[in-house]
Amino acid sequence: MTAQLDFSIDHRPDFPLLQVRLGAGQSLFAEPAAMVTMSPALHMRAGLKGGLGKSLGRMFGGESLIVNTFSAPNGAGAIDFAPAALGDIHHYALGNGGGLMLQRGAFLAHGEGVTLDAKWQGARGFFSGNGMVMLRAGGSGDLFFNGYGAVMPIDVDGGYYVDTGYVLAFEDTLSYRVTTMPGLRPGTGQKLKTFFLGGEGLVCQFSGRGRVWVQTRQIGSFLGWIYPFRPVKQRN
Amino acid sequence: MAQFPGGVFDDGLPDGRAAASLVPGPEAVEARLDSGAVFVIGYDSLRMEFGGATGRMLFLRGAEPRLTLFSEAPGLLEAIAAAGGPASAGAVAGARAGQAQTRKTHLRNWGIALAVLVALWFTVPPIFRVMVDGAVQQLPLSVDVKLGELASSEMAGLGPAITDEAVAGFATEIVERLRPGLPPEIQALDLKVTVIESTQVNAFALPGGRMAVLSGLLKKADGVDMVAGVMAHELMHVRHRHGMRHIVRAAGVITALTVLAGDATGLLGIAAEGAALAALTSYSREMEAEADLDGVRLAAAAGFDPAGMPAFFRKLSEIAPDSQAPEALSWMSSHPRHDERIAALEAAIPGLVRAESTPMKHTLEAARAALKGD
Repeated sequence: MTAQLDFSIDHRPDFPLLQVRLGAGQSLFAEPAAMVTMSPALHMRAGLKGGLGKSLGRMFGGESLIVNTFSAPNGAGAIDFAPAALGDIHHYALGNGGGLMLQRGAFLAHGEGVTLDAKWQGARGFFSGNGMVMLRAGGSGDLFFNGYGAVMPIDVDGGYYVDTGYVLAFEDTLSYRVTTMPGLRPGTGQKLKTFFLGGEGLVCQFSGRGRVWVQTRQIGSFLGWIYPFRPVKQRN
Repeated sequence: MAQFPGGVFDDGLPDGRAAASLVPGPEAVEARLDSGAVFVIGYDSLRMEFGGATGRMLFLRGAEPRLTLFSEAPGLLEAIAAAGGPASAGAVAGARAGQAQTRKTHLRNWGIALAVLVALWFTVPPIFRVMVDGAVQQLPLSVDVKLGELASSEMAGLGPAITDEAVAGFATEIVERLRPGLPPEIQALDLKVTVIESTQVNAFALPGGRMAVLSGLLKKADGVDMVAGVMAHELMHVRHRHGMRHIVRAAGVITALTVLAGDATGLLGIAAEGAALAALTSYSREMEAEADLDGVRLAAAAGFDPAGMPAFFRKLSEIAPDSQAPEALSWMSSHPRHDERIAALEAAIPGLVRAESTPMKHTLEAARAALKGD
């Protein structure tokens, strides 16, 4: 699948900006507050896309209820988007037979023909820290997602382990389960100590064929690192 | 023939995969690509299993190891069974057996998880309580005193202390009358009470015995027995070391979270601060109930009317709407269910022995008269 939209991603990977150049009649859907600049020819409308059910699903998947629709009814124009977190933006062309699972907050924008659904993940979602519900992008068209840090694609053929906090997106042809690091299963002697003290608790074990996108930083670790330096309010 | 949207994995394809329509025929499943290319897996070599991120995607493999067809379209398995008849029966049975096995495993895992949760729900809180109480008993009372000193800055922020003898002496006299009813080690503490100028109807005790009465309480109280009831309640928080218990409890929860959550340190730090604050601010309902019942007994033993405490609660529920109790150290706003507490107290009062009442040297009336703006 090749991209249907004319786009470019500049200033990568720390503070990237996504520019989409919409042709007359084309539309683009983006998370609220992501727009940076826009040509006057373009038109923006905010609303619940896909009805209340889909909107609630998006909300449980860690996204906003509202989706902004940008259209070019009167002629071509360009628009720039910036994600909230500092990290790279990636493009994915849907339409190769499967969909893409997205971590909470990873969605940035998509073109026409793409559907976003909430998929119940249950216990593995809970333990993976990605929430009980994940977003799944389906259909065909362009999808843009963003991570924290740089974004690295990994082609999985067989199996692969990724620390739960670093999984950004993966193709839905991959099966996954949340497990402890191999060799750290409880009941194997001193392994429990490694499990608790090693800080490498749970991993996503992917199997099958497909691609996983890994973000090179984790927001939780960053918060932990910066926490001691925060200004503390002095109480009288 | 029915078509099912899906895709193909094959090393010969650009990017290794492509979208395709899956078409079950009488002898084989065909995958037709938009490019016109067709991939075929015959039923004689077909193996199928469910998988993918949702567990509902059907994967089809044949003799060629690098070729995989997949689709999540509902009804594909049934269509293959119908189109292939006996030829596809083996592969269909294999996929269904795998699906049934997965379901069984899921069900078993959920069952185990549920059972563990229920077991933890019933066993952890009592064990935890025993551990907390044991830990608090190991800590000397001097720790409570230190803790109270740390928290006393909260007290200074509430308003200026009133040093007028009519006011300060009144509060001190109540404490001195209550003191003999306390165990010796608590009596030995510096049970100092300060009256703070404030419109708030509130009083509190810090771990280690320092107490504060806000002057709004003296203004609103309908008699010395109400004030004594409140102060007896606060003294019981000191006597039962509720502040310490709360902190040890919070520390235990944080330790448990750390062990469970591994490297989620950032969120834990935030949670820890919240928990520490909660530990210093409000007590649990069981602690409040304990302070109520033991407090009313203490007040009666000192010769005060035990009915003062429930009467005060009634008064509180009347004036609660305009309560400006600070979020921290609040005596009343964080305690809902005045009714329940009043009922529990009134049930206990008939069984209490009230000591003989002697007149106070400092009266509430005199204290009030000395308060500014009254």
